[in-house]
Amino acid sequence: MKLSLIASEVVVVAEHGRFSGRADFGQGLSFIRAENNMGKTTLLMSALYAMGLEGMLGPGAQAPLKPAVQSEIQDENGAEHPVIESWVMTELENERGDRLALRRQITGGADPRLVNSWEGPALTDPSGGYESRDFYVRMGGAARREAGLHHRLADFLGWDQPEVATWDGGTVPLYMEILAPLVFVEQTKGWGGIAAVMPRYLRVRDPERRAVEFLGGLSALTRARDRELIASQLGEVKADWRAAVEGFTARVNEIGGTYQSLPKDPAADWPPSPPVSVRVLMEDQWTPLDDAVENLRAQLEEASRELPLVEQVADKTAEELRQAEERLGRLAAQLAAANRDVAEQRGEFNALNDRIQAIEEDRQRYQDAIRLSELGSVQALAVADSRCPTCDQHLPDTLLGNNFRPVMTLEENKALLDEERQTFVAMRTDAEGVLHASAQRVVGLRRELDDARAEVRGLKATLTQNAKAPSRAIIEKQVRLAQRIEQLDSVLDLLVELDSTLGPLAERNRHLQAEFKRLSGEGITSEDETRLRTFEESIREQLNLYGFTSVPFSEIEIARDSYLPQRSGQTLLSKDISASDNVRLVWAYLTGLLELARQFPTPHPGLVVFDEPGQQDISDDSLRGLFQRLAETAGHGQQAIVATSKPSNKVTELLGTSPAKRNDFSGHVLHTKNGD
Amino acid sequence: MATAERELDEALDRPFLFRDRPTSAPSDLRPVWRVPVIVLLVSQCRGEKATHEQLHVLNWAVRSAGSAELLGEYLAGNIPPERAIVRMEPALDRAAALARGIGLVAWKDRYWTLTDSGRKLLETLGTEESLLAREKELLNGLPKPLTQSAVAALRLRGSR
Repeated sequence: MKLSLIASEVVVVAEHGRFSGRADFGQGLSFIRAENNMGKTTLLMSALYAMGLEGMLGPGAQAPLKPAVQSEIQDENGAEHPVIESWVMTELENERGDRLALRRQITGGADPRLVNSWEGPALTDPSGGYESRDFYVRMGGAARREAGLHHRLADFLGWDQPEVATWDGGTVPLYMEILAPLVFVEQTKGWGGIAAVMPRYLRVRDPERRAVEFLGGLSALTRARDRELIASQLGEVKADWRAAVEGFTARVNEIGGTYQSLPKDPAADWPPSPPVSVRVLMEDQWTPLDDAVENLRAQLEEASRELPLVEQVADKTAEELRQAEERLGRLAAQLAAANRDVAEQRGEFNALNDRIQAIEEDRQRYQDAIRLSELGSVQALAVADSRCPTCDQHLPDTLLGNNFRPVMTLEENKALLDEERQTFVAMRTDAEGVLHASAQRVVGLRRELDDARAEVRGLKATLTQNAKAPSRAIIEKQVRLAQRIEQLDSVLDLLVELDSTLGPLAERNRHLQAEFKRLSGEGITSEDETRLRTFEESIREQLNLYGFTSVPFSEIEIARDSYLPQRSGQTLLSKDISASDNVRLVWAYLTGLLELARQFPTPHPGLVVFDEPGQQDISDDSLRGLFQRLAETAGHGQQAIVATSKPSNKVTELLGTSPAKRNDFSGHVLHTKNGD
Repeated sequence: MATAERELDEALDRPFLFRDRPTSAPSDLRPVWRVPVIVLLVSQCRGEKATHEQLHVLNWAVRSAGSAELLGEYLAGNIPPERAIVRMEPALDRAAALARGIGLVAWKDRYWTLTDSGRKLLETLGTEESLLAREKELLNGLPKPLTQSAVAALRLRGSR
């Protein structure tokens, strides 16, 4: 994938006339050279602005351009003129050789959030009639929507931008503003370190890592994306599973039954062992569903055998009524007790929940404390028996209380909380099971009570019935039994159905879990490792070339987690190396990423833009190394653009025999047609 | 009885060894946890300058989701100040003193301000998202920055 800047032009219209400045870039190394404060940064930054990438510098709506293109412009004689209107036009080329010209208003006239585009070389060959279209930028949707400029640019580049995680748990496309700092180094802040101007306001998690992974074509990025995909599929399986289980358990609850061995969350194996079993309360005994149905059928058969007349069963009915009333009383008492149990157990369950939440909070803080204790600035607070560097007083172990008793170390205390948590979670699981069983018992008892009441009613009615009529109690009993059998039968059917739903889900779950585990594996793939080694090698080679001396260049490595330069496992911070070596490191890192694209297919645009790389009075020898290295881009179809204030003959001298395209400005970059 | 007493005497008549077992302590009393939180609290105030009262109000807010919500509701004008009763916590005073002692904050003209090393720590806390995540989340939910006038109307209770 490749993006080349072909040319860029800034036009400022003032009362005095029209000022313009233009640079043409070739393959390989190109220069914009002018004295300081003559507008070369303006010309370079305006190209960034034309592509709507100034958001890499911050969320502000103001264009990051000098007053010369926004408010007042100086002519060749030093006189100031108010700016009426200004714009920038930039022409780009992609790998296929397609051209795209972008024109964006800086001030006056059209809304600067609107970018006009032409599908052709509208800047270098304005005579052609090209298809034109407007895109918007610096607004929501600029990266995702069809009409967004960055959507168009990604398309032009052939980029498939991955979705990446944000701080708040969502995902967004890996914005171009996040990739830009690894391609384009802006002069004022950009040389402070690698990707020193990362736009954190975009809320992307670990933006530097994601940007390096993307530009270096590392599979870690897609791996994270694939993992998220699998995670969402696992989420679907879980939702389907829960829906099936909940549908089933709701029916079981309706009939006052309990179930066992039915996992709430997806299992990897089906059917479970022991198999799912449903029990219902019969005569205050939890009976397996099959047995209950069998038992009820036998009762029904018994009751259906003959239909006696009332007078034939009067005595028996009176006795049965007495027994039924007794049973009613017993069940009512049992139900009251069961209700009390439930209330008590629920209280206990809630108390356990509160306790677990408190432990988890405490545990999280300890985890934070352990991490914080590794930070230099507060380390002293975590070391036993340490002293305050200001007042030399003993630093306490805790903020309140005495020092008479030793306090556990942070790690010991966290381990204690871990243990406590484990205990309480086990207790909660237990309490939940007990609570559920009690609640089901209440439902079952209620059902039995209703049954007993109906029986009493039927028996009473039978006793006051016409003696020649068939016994009403027996008819009612038959109806009740038949209804109950039907209810329980339907649950038996559901149990069979559940098997056919959960079986395939368990299998899918097993596969997805295995895949997820594979993708979450520690370490990096061998392909990524090869790439990182190449990247590392390029950086070391360049650091040697540029005269990096703060630490031995051969000891510098790329961290396999943050992808930042490190030495003996410690990230190389800007305070550890000299200011000029810091600049050399930025050169080497960004150029290394560019060079990586020569050996491996990566989505890197094959372009670096350095605004005034000669920071911190860096030596000419270093610059010579950089220019010559950047000039090698020509042989690989890549591009490097450098803005410098070095005198023209100095640039020539430093370049040696290396080819470069030069845009030399002896005075103001922005000038009137007849001036300069 | 006499035998029992003698047996007891015998049982006690041997050397004792007392070993001091370290005790557990609540995490929010650990200086290494609390002091960085002070830096977060100061950063929440206008111009990264906090009065001692502001510090107590924010401290109270980060202690629980309930209190953070109360403060948020008060600042949004949905409830009167009397409803949000701020508890002052002596441990905070100690933590602030320690933060000053190790040079993370400075006390100047009756304000707590961040020092360079405090700001650096704040930056680290900003990049390490999962560090003090809950506290940051609670603070982020509050309108920023917390002004002095908003704090003045709140009743502060507790020891001072």
